[in-house]
Amino acid sequence: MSITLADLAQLLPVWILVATGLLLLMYEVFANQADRSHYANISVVGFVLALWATYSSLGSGTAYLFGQGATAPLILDGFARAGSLLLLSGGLIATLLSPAYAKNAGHDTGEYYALIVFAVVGMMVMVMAGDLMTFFLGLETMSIAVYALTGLRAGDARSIEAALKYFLMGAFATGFLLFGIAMVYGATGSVALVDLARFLSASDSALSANPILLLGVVLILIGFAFKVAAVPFHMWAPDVYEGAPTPVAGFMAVGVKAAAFLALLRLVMVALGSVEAAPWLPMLRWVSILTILGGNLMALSQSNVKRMLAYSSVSHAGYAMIGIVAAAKGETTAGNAVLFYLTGYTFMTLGAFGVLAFLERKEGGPESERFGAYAGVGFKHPAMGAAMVLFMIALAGMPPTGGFFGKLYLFSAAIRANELPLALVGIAGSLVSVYYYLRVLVHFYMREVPEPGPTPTATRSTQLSLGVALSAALILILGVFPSQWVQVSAKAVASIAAATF
Amino acid sequence: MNLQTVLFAVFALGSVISALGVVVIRNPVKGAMSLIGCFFSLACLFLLEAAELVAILEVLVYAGAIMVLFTFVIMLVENKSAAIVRNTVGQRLALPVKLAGVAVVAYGLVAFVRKMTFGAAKELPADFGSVAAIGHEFFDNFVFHFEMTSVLLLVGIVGAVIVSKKRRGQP
Repeated sequence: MSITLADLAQLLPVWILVATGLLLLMYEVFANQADRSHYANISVVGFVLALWATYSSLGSGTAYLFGQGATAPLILDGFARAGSLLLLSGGLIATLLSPAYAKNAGHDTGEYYALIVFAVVGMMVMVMAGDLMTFFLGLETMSIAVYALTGLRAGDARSIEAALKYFLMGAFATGFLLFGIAMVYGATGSVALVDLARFLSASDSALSANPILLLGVVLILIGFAFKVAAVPFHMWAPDVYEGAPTPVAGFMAVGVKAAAFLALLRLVMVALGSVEAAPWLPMLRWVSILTILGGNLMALSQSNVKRMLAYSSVSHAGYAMIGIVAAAKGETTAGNAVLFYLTGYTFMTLGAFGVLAFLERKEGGPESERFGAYAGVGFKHPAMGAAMVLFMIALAGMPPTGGFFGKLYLFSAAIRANELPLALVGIAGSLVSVYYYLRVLVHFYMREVPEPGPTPTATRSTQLSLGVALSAALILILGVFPSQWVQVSAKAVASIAAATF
Repeated sequence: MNLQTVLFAVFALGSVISALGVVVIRNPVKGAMSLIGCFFSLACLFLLEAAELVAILEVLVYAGAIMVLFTFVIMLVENKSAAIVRNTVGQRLALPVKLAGVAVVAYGLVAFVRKMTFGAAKELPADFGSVAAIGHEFFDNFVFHFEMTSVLLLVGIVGAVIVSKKRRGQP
């Protein structure tokens, strides 16, 4: 096998990000320590360049890098490019939300931004991965960066607890995943997704005679369920989201989840979908139902806004899982629906966490994150209040936002795949969720007198406002003109199906 | 009975006995020494299987680097040479339970493996497991994985440093 310069040039976005990360680490060492405002700007420039490089290559054909044909470790197809676009914008917005918050919390270092950049590198590798080992390396790069980011809030015991919990749970999930990959390798003799697909489609009896393979696939799916915080593997999510720095919690909620779901979508569409009546289908279906119901019901009773958003992100993992089930049954529009849904989810969740970061007091503490602490905030900060209205409406899945179309596409894909009960559970869950999302707005606008106790004060910052405005604009664009991104993501998902054999 | 079988018996026994020693010996330093013996026996077993690189790495990395780390940690945390685990009645009672647990799990694993059907074994290439063959895999078929690992390690190092270092405004 030979590697040409043209091959390496295909990976330009990844190179740009790695260079940005290294530059940030070097800058931290050599630059003037008193001026800490440039880190975020360097990082933003890196993300924008990488976005531009990805966007300009969106139309080009599928490239197989560092290997022959479809068994190559990196598959740069339309899906990988569209997914990268989504993950890069998530990283960009998370970076924009960070500077003011990081300064208050005392972790505005080069390493902070470098870790976000490296986490996005890992996510992009996950989405491009053509074999399970590459996927695993990307996943670990992302996870380790996020573990470290979680524990950064200086002097806050909740942050340390969150980091430790996340690290231990994550290491456990990684163990499951790696064990599963080893089993699959033992059964099929290859880690490439296409080889798994060939093995599975070669003989339908292969599965029943092959407990190792079945065990391997189930373990891999459990690893995924941990990473996306699906019930019953969600226990870590609320504590971790509550303890992590707010912009990091937003980044974690969208980036980690989006990358894991996109990789899962590729796994399901390339390999696992080729089995009729696969034994893991009921498992995915039940995880989806439990996640939607569990996430929504537990979100109802939360009194802390960050914890409520954590449970809401659990329930959103359940909705996305509906699309995965439909994709596993061979429904062609399901992949498209998942990608569109994740896009909307990325912007609305990041935006909501951005508003929370804007309102967070310097000294923080659980008291300032209660619903009651936000009384009357909507009138004090009209722009941020309006943005929060938009994000909450989008999270509840109402028009005119991208959240509405995301759910519409998901549920209609489920119905087309003969999964009517799943769609009904999803609709019921969305109805329940309206209550707790609107509860935020009730406190923002209808409780004039602040309840006793510390109230949030605003952290003004141009970058933060820009990040929230960008999220709001994108979620509106997705809701009003959804067709363009639908076309891009349809083409992207079609490129997986076309390249399978 | 040829020489290879004899050597296998010697090192297999050696690895099991020294592994038992790690669990049973109460003095942590002696336990660590026993662990080195275990690694050494394992390395010899790998050599018998003609897996030279794994054997060398076992000695270099595990018996060398990781054990030095172990010993350092033992030296740092140990305030007395007395046993770190007290020998209580509860523990003596728990021992048979633990042994039974291990036996059940081991039996289950063996039963599971014996129930499975394996395909025909493939012929391994002649230089399988040699340094050259593994190097070839690393820099040819798995070059991306190899390079990506460097990013992963960098992130790990940066993450470890940033989490453990003292920040501004912190005592």
